[in-house]
Amino acid sequence: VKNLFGRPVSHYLLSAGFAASACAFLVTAWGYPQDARAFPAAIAMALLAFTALDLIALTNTAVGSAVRRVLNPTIKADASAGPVSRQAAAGLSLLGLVAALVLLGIEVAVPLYLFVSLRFRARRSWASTLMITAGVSVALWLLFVAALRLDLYRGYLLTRFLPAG
Amino acid sequence: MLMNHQVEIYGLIWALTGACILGSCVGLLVARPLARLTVIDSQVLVPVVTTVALLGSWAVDRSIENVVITAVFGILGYLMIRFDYPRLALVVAMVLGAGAERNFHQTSMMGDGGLAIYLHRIPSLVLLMGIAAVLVSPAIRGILGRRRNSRAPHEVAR
Repeated sequence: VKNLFGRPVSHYLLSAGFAASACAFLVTAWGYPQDARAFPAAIAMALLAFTALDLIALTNTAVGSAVRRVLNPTIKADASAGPVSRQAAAGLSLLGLVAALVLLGIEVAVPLYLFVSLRFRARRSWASTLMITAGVSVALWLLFVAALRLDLYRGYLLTRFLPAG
Repeated sequence: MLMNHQVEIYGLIWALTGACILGSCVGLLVARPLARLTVIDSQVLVPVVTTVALLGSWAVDRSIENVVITAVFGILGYLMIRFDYPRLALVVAMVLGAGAERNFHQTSMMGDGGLAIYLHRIPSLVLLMGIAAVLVSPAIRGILGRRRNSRAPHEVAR
């Protein structure tokens, strides 16, 4: 199903995600003491009400356009962006960097990410890729290790299988 | 502190003043070369800026969880731009949320756990009415705008 009530399903996902997170919070908070859950539960209820209105307003139906006209007259008819594959690639590359930082540590993940991004996504030459990767990595090392005296995070795998010292 | 260590306090104030002036001079000196950053290819600039941003979030308290949270909010922010949701409201909620919750609990304690106290005090009532007005104003503006638009063609015909 690509369209739902005259709109692509992807347009509902963010609002549905907010609603799902509010529901998940309400279910989790059910066992909390009443005082502790009072404020967050009120926020979650308000979020549920607003996301319900938003989901209705997103539909291309008579009710949806009426809600849109009354509550949010400035809403854009359709948000457009680049191809989905490019957006997904950008998101995945960010998640890949985070995974590499967590698993391999900063000293390995940063040069690796810069090299892969510049060589295979930006399609730079080998020489400029190596130069930029080395330059940025050294600059970051100078800033965080030499100037700020921080011990760079070594990553889960390196800490577990290759202990320092 | 202010009474017994005036030399240090005034030294601190002068140091901060000097730092502001020096910072302005350095900013003016490097503004032109820094403006050239805008001509760098975005496909080169984005990985570098992403890396620096994630390392900056790690360096706040040297916690790798901060990096994960930054990435999650980065993707959420992108999706909000992509589907035309206001980001400002989320940022304001993040900044003011903790204070709002603390004051909510304090007020509840003042009202013996009940919420009726919000309706019995004039400042609270005024604020509640303000919130209601903000929530209802788009609908009222929309109705007034449509009425004005429907009246305009008749006036032109006359």
